[in-house]
Amino acid sequence: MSLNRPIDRRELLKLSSMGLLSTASVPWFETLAQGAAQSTQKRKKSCILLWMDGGPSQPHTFDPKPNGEFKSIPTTVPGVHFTEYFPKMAKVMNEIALVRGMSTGEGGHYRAKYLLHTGYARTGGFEHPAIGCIASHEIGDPNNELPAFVTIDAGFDKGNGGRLYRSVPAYLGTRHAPLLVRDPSKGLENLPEEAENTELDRRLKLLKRSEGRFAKKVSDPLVRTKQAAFDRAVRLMRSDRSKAFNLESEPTYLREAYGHHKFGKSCLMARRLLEAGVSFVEIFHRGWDDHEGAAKRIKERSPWMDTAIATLITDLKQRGMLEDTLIVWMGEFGRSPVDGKGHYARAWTTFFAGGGLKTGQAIGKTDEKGKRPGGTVVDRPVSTAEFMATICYALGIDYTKEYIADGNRPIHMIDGHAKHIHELF
Amino acid sequence: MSRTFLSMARKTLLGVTTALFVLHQVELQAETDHPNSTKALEVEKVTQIIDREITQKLKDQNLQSNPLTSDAEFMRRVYLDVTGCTPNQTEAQAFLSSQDPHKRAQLIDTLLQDEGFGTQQGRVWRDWIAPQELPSEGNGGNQPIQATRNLGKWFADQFNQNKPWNQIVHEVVTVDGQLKDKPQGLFYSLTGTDTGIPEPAGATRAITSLFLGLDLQCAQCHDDPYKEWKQTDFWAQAAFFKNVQSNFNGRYFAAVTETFGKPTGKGAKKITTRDRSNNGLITIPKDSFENAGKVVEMTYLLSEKIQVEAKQPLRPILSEWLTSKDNPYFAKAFVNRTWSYFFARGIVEPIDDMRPSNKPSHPKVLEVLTQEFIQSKFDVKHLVRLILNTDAYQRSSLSIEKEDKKLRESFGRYPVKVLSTDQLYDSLRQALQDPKLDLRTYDKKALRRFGESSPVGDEYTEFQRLFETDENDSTHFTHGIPQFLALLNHPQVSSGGPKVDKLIKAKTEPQQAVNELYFETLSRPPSPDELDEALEYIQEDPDNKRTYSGVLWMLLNRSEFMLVR
Repeated sequence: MSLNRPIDRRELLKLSSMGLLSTASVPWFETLAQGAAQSTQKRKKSCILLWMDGGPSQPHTFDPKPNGEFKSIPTTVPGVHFTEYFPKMAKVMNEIALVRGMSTGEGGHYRAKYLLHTGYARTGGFEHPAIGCIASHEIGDPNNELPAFVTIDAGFDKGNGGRLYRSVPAYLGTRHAPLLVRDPSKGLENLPEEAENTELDRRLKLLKRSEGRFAKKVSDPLVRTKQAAFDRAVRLMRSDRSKAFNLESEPTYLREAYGHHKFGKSCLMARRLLEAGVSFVEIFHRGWDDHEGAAKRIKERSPWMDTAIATLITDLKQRGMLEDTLIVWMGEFGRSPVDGKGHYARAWTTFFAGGGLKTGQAIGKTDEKGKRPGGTVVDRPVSTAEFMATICYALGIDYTKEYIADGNRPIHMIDGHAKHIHELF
Repeated sequence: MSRTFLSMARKTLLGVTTALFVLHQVELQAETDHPNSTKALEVEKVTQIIDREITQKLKDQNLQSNPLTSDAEFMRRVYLDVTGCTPNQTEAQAFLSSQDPHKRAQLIDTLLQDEGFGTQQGRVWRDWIAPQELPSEGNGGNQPIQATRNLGKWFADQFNQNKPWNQIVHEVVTVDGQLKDKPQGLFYSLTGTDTGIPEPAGATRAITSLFLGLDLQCAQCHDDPYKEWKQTDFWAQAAFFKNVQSNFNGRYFAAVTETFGKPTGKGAKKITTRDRSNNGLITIPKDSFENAGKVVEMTYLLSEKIQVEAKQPLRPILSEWLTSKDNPYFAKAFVNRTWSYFFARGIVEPIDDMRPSNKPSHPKVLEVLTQEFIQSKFDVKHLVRLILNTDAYQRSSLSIEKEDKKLRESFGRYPVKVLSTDQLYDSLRQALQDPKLDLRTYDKKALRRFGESSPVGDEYTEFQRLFETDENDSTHFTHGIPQFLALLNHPQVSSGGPKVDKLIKAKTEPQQAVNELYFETLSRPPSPDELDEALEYIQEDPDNKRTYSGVLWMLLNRSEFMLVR
């Protein structure tokens, strides 16, 4: 059950002064909000993963260097700088924890996408579950009409960065596969606007009788799976929670604050989905494989990214949701120092926000030396497994757990004996 | 496991092969003595050997096989398996009303002559070579969708001409030239790098898995501790592809060739290993876990070394060994893969792990079919005819209590399978009589602001993307909320299509309409209960267009419609 917190007046004023909001927003999901008010239960943790497909450049974003192509600007945290194109995010740096020592070693797109989604190196013939599927399995609410894991396609610049990784639940079961929203401005594909439809009811009644007989006759697991999946689709259509896919009911000022780019709409939809009880939302935007140089492209992308992420953090905060919502920003690797033309997996940057973490700090450091600074991690390298363990830990998932894969093969949720980044907790 | 062990195992395996072949010859000899010996009898003879072993194995496990399936179920199954589409009403009624005792065998022969046979097998091979999730121009990658379809069509043509399988594979492996003339050239791009440049390692993985039924994947980087393959076995194969190079036309793969020196022509790209070793040698690349930099000599798998001239093309040499009837894996791998297509399970499982220590569940079945396949000069239709005429293929899929899985794995029960993407698309189009069925909710004119494009393919691409199934396991039901939201709500499905328009135009009476709609979807007449329920539903609403569409919608959303069983 989602708990929709009432808005704190002071927070709202703060938000308004930042120019993000102009008037109070009304909880869009009234029945749930009422339930929330009555409930004293702690809200479950949830996660929004912002995936910059292709590999975003750290020298052009959150690990600026003195001789970089962009100027750097101070943030609300003394000593931590961003590049000049992320001024709004700089104002909420106190809610952000940068990880500047990502050291993952895999520089091929698809293998790295697989690695950074599953925590495992890709081997043929064996699939590992993606982090979103793990979250669905571990903390998802099985009684929710919405799937616990939703992915949102925020569009793309151009066709680079290769094959898109799609989250696979593998041995966790089809139920933990993500539901894809192909375009946040259009909501969920084939979801009717009206839940009430008497003709559909008549048809469903007709279908139900024969389906019942068939299931008795053919008691194959495949038939049960089909009927369960069909029922889930019908329950979703009938559920009030499916309104989470519709951004129309959000007030105009808030939609504007998130921005008109699909990425901003995706962030707004993600917030609504979490309110409706979804545990994990992955938003992906493609085209960050900037081989011709990252400067031009990131300059073009930065306005919508800066606006959307700053608004998301602020909006969650003023709704009292930020403590329980982990935001993760990342790609499959970073880019080579200075111009960002090459793939770079030895030293790159991700960030966490919210989630009850110790934010307002930058963990890890890359070097400042030579003509191409930033190529080496000089303090606190973070491996893929440590990074994955951190996401799990922040979501209240016991990452030391073992799963049993097909063929009775025991397999760790997170590779090896990695530990989470303790500085964040 | 040591190399020595493997060589021994292989010798033993060949010994068994010879013995069985003799047995087979004896049985076939007995049959040709029969005065009225015909092709059909020969089929019967082989199917008897197959069914005898399957029955014996069931008996050994105290399992009782399912009875043969009904004519109606058999018909729908064989249409979908062979042609990839349900029968239409005329075809269905003709078969069901026939009194001929040999009508099942006749239907099998008819369908093998149908163009749908090649079409379906072509699509199956297309998806095995190019799984749908590969990058394509529609999802931000480089794989040309049209070229992939052309590859499927090329296979379809070969299968429809009934070109021998060894010839088909030869033409794939040795392909040289422009993609526009030789669509099978795409094989080297699809098995290449992320960006579609041919790569020795990728070609090796694909060729061993698809054509030899062997999984050498792990051996690419290290000796496989679980299997018998050494890393050098892998690279000794890869050496055959060292000189493959390609031309790109812009982003798109345009030609494949095997010439020497620097690549020439527009967009020419050399293979990715920068390997200066002599022809017939290959260097294990840097990113391997073990033996990086080691030079490996080209050999046939588990065989002696081959001497080559400095500039001799290598793939024809590989193909000669690969597609030979003496290759212990080649024919068997195709038989096993084809069997697994129908039964959703190979006689050796997994289907690309036919190493000697991974034993077949039914050695005699595999052996007799392999020998038949070789004897018939790799005649694919002959092989399929044999499989379809077995009792094993024609058994009911109904499950009886707990022994289900065991029974299915012992081929005592036909599996329940989910319609593949293509089977579903064709069957939906046939039921709605809408050849251009388009379930897209987006078009290309969608938002074009910077960074917001939506990749939208044509109606077929988008259907494939939505209803993608597991090409390696047809009993794996992968559809979920998005697929059923489309079938539940998309107007093209819920409003009856041209089929209902025709019923209305012809002023079809409700009973006849229900009957027709059942035939066009489930390939059978409605049961009395089903008819009553449908008529009751129709009578509650005077709008026949709406109610007939409702009945059709109900049928298209039935489990029975989505399954092959």
